[in-house]
Amino acid sequence: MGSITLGHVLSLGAILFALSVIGIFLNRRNLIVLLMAIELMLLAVNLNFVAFSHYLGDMTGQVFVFFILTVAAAESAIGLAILVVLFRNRASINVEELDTLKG
Amino acid sequence: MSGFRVSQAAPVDPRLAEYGNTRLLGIEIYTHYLYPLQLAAVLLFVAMVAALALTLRKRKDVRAMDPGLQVRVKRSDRVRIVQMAPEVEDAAAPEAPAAESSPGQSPKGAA
Amino acid sequence: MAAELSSSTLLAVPLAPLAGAIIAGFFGRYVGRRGSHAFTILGVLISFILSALVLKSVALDGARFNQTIYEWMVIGGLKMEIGFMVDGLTAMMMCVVTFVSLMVHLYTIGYMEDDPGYQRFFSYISLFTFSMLMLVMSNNFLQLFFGWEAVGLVSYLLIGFWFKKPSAIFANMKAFLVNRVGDFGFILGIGLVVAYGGTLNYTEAFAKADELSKLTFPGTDWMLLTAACICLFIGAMGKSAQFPLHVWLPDSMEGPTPISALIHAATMVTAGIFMVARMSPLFELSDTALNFVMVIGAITALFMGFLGIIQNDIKRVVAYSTLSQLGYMTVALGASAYSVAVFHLMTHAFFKALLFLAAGSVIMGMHHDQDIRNMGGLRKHMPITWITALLGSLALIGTPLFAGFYSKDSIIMAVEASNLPGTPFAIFAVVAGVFVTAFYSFRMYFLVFHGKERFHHKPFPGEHEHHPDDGEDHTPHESPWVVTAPLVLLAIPSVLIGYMTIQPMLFGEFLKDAIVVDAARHPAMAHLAGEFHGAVAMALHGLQTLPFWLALAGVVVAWWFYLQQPSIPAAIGRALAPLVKVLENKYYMDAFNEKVLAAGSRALGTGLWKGGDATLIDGMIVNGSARAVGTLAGLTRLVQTGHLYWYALVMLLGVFGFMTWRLWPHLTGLFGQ
Repeated sequence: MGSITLGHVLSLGAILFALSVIGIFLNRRNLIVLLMAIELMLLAVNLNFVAFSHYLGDMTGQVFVFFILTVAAAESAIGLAILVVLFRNRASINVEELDTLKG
Repeated sequence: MSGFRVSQAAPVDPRLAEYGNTRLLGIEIYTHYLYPLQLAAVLLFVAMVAALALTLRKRKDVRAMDPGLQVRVKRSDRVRIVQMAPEVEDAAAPEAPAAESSPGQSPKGAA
Repeated sequence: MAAELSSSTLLAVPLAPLAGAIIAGFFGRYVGRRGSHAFTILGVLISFILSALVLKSVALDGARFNQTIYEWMVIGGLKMEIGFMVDGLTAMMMCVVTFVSLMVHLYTIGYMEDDPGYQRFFSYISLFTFSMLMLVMSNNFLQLFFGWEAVGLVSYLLIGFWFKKPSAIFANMKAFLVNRVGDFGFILGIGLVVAYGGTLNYTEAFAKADELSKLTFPGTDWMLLTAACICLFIGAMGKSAQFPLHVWLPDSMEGPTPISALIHAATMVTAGIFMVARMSPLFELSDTALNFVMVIGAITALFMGFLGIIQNDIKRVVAYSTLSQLGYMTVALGASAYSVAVFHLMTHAFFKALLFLAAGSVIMGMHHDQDIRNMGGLRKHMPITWITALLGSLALIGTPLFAGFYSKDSIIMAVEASNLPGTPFAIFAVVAGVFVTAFYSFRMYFLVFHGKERFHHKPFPGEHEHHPDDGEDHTPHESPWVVTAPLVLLAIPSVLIGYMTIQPMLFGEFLKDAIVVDAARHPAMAHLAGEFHGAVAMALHGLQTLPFWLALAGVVVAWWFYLQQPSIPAAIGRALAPLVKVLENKYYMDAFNEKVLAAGSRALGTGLWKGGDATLIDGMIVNGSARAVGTLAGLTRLVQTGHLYWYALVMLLGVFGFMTWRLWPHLTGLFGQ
């Protein structure tokens, strides 16, 4: 059994990312799950950054993670606020009902 | 660029053992990346304000006054000068002038 | 007269009738009937007087004129001009055209007296005079073509003059369309000359004739000039009604008689003959073209004569006679006897116009009944008409000393001296035609002017307007002087002009510089010149030749058949019934044209409209492209589902694909160990 290599961590990040993408479009009912999936995507990217930072010995990667987390938080907050207002107007958070842009 | 050595284990970083990861991270943030840090703070603040602005609902039964409206009131909104004939002392009917002058008074402005 | 002709005199010749036409045409209501005919006759009279003066200058003083009056456009190096070329040929044509036109103008005062379109008619015949003069006086191909088309147009207008008659409209469309077929060939011929000669001017083109004769038509080994001359002659076939483009001329008798005299006897139909004579420098260089001309002319001369035998409408007899005589002129052109052809053109113009106008006078007397079977014995009632018609008929059949004799016999002699391959057939045709001509001419003459009077109880009431039998006396009477004076004035040259002008025209200097004959290859004219010993001698000699006896035989047979024993022609008609049927159907050419060519063109047009235009262009290309866009848009629209996650996914996949595409070379080396 070998040690944890860069490849392992990158694979993990990729799998997380793929799972979250699948989660975005397999999810038909819940807007909150959509927001969660977006957070998971950002997290997967963070994992990538941290992995490279560790294996290259450069702290810059982790600093960038810091900022990504900040942005993720901000975006989460606003996303949830929009969710609340949406629910007030439509009394539903079903993603499938949001199709007024349909061609 | 040369390929990443993805199958190798991580090289041991001597600084890590000496200072610890958190300390190293702090050094980077608060020295080289100070301005971005401040910007990130502002960003969080803006996000908070935005979230509030979107979702805040007012209580319907609050009796507080809007100071802005109070300050914007002008004299001409509250007082109106009316020309009237002077009150004459009359021995026959002393209550009549008192009743005539009352319609000339404007009510005090309410909140 | 000075030996120089002035351009203003020459300009006045066509412009005076044009002015008359404009006044009568646009201001006819204001100047009234008298004003219309006064102005137009004045215009044509001025034209005639000036033409006579020009003829005098040209003939006696040797004056010539060949200048450009106005250059109206230059394209590339090609100049388009208005210009006049006046030599013997032109001067002769000018005089013929203006004289006949003047006679017809005068005649029309009487003939069209009751017609509501009086002013319009005068305007048209003056316009025709202008167009024909521009044609004959032209010095370049373009003006020739202008005149050519203009006379075709005016002919259309005049044939359909009574435009409320369906048969007249049918006839004028037929005339115009058949002419158009000829014009198509004509413009191809002009195009060939211009393309290889580089110029529209006659003199310049003729100067290049020798070098053009060495070229071949590209893609074949035919001589270029053969192709060009045949194309030009196709134009002449249309205009001068040669077989097979002759079908319009009998139908053109739907127009009033004055125009049959002016246009379809004397002037327009002779434009083709004139054109070939004018182009003699080109035609001389191509034996094939000349042979073609001769054979076509021979066919026309003979077979149209046959058709004249069975006609019962007085105007149609004269129409087929015109066709036959045009064939004679064409045969002479083919035999390189251009001056003889032009000479016959001139004499024919006079006696044929006379015959038409006389026929018109008869029609007037018969209250517009044109069937000769209803006439008879008119010589007692219409003496002047009778005498002039007799003189015209004698001229037509070639009686010695009359005008027609000199021209016709010259044609026969010229053809006999020709050495082209088609000569034997041509000789047979023109000689046999003499008998046929005499026969039908005098058949008509005897039936109309001699014999029993049949107009009291018309045995053949036709569709022509005639008054019902109400007991009134319908005996014809002589026509007014405005009608008979032109007859007399035309009879004079019909008798005299041949005798007077044969020597200068055929053998003198008059047409020497207008017509080019290659005497070595085409010895006809030289042969004629050798045989000619003066007009009187020719007349006396003529009494001994075959054509004279054939003509005499024709007259005698006509007299016997139609005056003495009328049962004989009826019996022959029954015995030869199928032949008569073919003749009555005009060799089935009209049926062929209507059912095959006309119907075929209409079917082609309909097919192209329905299949090509409606189905292909409208349906598939225009509507089809709209429908395709709609369908494609309908499919593309499905990408817009309205769901946000879908858009996010599409964006993601797009970025993924883009990065893969751009980074692919680097990716393979990325994971090295």
